[in-house]
Amino acid sequence: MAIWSGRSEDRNVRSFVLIADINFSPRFIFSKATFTTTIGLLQQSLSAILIMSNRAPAIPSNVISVVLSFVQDRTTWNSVCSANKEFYEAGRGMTPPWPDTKFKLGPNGTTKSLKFSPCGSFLACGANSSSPYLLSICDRRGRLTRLICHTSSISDLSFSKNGKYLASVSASDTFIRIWPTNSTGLPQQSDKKLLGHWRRIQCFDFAPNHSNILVSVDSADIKVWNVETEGCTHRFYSGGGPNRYIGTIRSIYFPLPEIKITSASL
Amino acid sequence: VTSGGFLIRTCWDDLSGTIARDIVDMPGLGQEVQKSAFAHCGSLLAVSSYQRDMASHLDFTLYDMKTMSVVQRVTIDDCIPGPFTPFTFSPNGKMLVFDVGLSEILVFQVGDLNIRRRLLRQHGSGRVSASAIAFDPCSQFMAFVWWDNYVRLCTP
Repeated sequence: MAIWSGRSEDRNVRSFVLIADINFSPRFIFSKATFTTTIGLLQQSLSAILIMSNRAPAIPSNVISVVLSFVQDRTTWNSVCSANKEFYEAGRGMTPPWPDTKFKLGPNGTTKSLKFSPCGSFLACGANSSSPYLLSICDRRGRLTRLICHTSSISDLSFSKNGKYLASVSASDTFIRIWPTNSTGLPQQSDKKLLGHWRRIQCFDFAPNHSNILVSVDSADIKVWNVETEGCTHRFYSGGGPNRYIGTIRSIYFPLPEIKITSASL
Repeated sequence: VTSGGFLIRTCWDDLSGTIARDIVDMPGLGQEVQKSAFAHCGSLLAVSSYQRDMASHLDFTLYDMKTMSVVQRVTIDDCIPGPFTPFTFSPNGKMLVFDVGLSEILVFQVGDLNIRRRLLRQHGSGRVSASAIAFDPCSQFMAFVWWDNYVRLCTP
């Protein structure tokens, strides 16, 4: 009898124990207890076990999904999914790990912006190559989507916290491009723009609790936008006044509201 | 946060239409803020600023926005100065990654700014800095881009 234990890479901590009997028939038992993680051992052994397990009784689909979410590299993913029919079927409906530790996103040139989507399935990259300036989005299967966007190199990117929008600004444009995402979270080509700044945008960010609200800053103004309606709802002067130099704004921060828990008992 | 070391606090109310705004000094932050980044959780701000007399010396400061005080400051003696030198917090707020521009990326442990790991780039073209760094939402690995526009994924 061999026992392996591990933890799913999912945010919700899910520890499990993998037990294989002497005939290498896997048996999976979930446990909330945290065991010593032996990731390397599990990944090395998993393929061999699964090859042997083709004769074993069917493995529950929820067990398969947990085990696959535990696999972190593409090579192991491929070997596991090709070793067992049930895992192969389940793997087709899941997002595999990133394909490699090195891959090319776009044409040669300096890249100044790189952001993961909130779901972790997409990586957006603003390439500074030559016109047309491209926004490249890579998914975990290595597929590239390219969006034509600004008239100069992209200087910053930001996903809304719920992944509904991707916003980008360039080094010289005075507007913000908004890319709505589809149901999988992939940004789509769009003509949506937030117009109204007179100077180059220094920094911007989405509000953490309201995905429709975006705040942007140029050298003179702070603007609050409603992304849905593409309208500027508030505008503030960002300077310190004629007799007070405070410099240019470097970053924006939204303090998260404090959660207060009150309890009472009789 | 401004390059002059000030904090602009702004609050608006959509229902009443009221706007409140003030500017406060951030003691100890200095006057030469090159780049700054906020932690995704907590109240920490990371700031990089170059020393005027020695351009290759960079001060790296962790600032607590709640107490308005410097938590920790380290000086990196040998780095390539530039306004676009990327650094970023991990989403779980435990790590701070900074590219010193010498084919080396430093992974700091947030709290005491101890260097947790050095990621060395293997490339024959000398001192080249990463142009962008990003963490995945679970903080398990990070991606960075070198000059040739290749994305590398690695565990921090």
